[in-house]
Amino acid sequence: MKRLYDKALMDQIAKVYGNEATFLSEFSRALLDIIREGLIRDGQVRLHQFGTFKLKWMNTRNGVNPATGKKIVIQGRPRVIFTPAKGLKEKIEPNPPALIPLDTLSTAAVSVEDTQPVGDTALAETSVEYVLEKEVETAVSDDAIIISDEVIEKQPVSEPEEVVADIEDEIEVLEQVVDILKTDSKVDSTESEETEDKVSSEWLDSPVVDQIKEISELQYFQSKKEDDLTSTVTPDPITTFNNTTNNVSSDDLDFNLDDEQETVKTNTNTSGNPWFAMAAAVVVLLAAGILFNGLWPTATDKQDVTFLYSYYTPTTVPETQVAESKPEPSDDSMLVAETVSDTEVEDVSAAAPVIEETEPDSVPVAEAEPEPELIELEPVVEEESIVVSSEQYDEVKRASAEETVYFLERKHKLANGDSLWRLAKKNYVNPFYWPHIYQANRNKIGNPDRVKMGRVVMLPTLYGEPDALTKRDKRNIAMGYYFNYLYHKQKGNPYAYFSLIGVDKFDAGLLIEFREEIERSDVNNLALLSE
Amino acid sequence: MTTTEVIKLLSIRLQISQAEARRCLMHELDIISAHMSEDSQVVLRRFGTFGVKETAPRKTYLPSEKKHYLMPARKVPFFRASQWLKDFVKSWQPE
Repeated sequence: MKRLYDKALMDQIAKVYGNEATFLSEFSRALLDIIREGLIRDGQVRLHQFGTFKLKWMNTRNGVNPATGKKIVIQGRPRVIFTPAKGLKEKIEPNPPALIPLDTLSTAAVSVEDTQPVGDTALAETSVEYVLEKEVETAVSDDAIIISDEVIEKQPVSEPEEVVADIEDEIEVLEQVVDILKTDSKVDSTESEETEDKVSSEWLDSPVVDQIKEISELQYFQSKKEDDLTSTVTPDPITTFNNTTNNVSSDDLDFNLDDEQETVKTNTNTSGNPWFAMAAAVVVLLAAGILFNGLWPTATDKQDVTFLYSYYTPTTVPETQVAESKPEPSDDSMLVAETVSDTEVEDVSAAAPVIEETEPDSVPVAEAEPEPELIELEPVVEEESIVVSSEQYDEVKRASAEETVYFLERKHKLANGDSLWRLAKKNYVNPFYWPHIYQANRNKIGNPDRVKMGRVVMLPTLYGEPDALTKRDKRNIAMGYYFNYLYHKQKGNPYAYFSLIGVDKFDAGLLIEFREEIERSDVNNLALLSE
Repeated sequence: MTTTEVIKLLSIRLQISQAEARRCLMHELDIISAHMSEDSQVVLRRFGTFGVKETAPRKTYLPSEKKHYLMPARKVPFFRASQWLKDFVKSWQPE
């Protein structure tokens, strides 16, 4: 999977606003900074046409440590949740697939049974001959062929020219059946038509019949895939499929002999290859079972299967077959499955080119003039100034390693009457060091002048003596004063520049470092004050 | 906090006009979403990752029509907060 990191993102932004690259690398950081602060302040940040970031409180709960098996209490904590906006969803998926009804397909296909196209009866004879010659591999008399025709009307055994290796095991079962066929044929030839029904009923009762059906269907479906049938009246693959599935679904496990015989006979009489269609059903059954094994618990339902077939036509059935089946609108109802599959195919084809158009290099914005000067960017220089909170974050970790510090960091729960000024006076002696606390807890303290009761604040370490501060302390305090200035500037306080005095006193270098963000008039005011 | 407020803060912090801040903001969000539409992830330090994941097809039921439907597989954008952001937000408490 491709991944885009901060730097690449800034470069892409800078392609448009090239000359102000230094500003723009800062822009995205400032944006993220504002989103973070807004999350803590309001609990949510809404960005138009993009989405909302929200904080959700997860309550404390009992849990178990999976490694040790001990019971523990998981403390309550906030969770960041992002809900994408409609605009973003549409960008990612311009043509979302529609809901597909499950019931209509199976009901509509029932009516198709009457309008089954007529096939060549000659094909059946030829196929039977072929089977007996090749599969049984024994000298077959003329009588046997004729008699076997009648039996095979119930249990046709048609083998394609090429058999896949997976089915070879199942063919062994077929061969056993063929032996039984021979014995039955002898009986049939001598006895009358009434007896034939008995024989066939015995046939249908046996569990082997089901296996034969499936195998023959499988084989036919493969042969059909290889080459389209020459006969002009061959039914559409999908419609025949629906027919067959309905037959099967009506019978179910409780096998009705009469129904079965009727359906079989009609099939054989009208079309030369009805079992071929059954084969399609079984193949799809298997495919659907594999595909939807985990996702689709009710895949065994026959009604669902009809749908699944239509849903996965793009993968199983080649496009040529679907295209051919289109111009034969023999029935309105039977084409429901077909239309669904066609629309999906169109959706896929429509969605694919859209994605291809937007190549990673040619982002729509990047079409503007790419300026080669941008290569000279040095975003690394700015990291010190902007990622203040990260310094503080690392500092806390490093603090424990320090040996001699004046004040070691500790947590403090804000109580009634607490203020940063008083806390600084109590812990750091000098109350003017209060920005030291503000700087360390900027994410928790919105307004430094008014802190909220009950919040836990980290009192940061003071490395040097209060009289002789170290460089790091001074910088931190100056940063605190600087952010205090920014805060009041946002509020529109005209006296915000007073806090710049602190910056000037503790670390004057910051004034130069942040000269772009500090208003020039404020600096002038500061100069006037010092005079 | 809404988009307009974000734009105001950006304009104050970066000393630019609000129109320009809006332009930059929309541009940045456009780039992120364009990358997401190509199934690639956008990783922002100290913030999180944006990406796209595919949902499995599932069966649905519309009680208004009393029918079963199949919701096909879809692409859904997601955001995963980084550990840094989680730590940053820890102190927040609901009102």
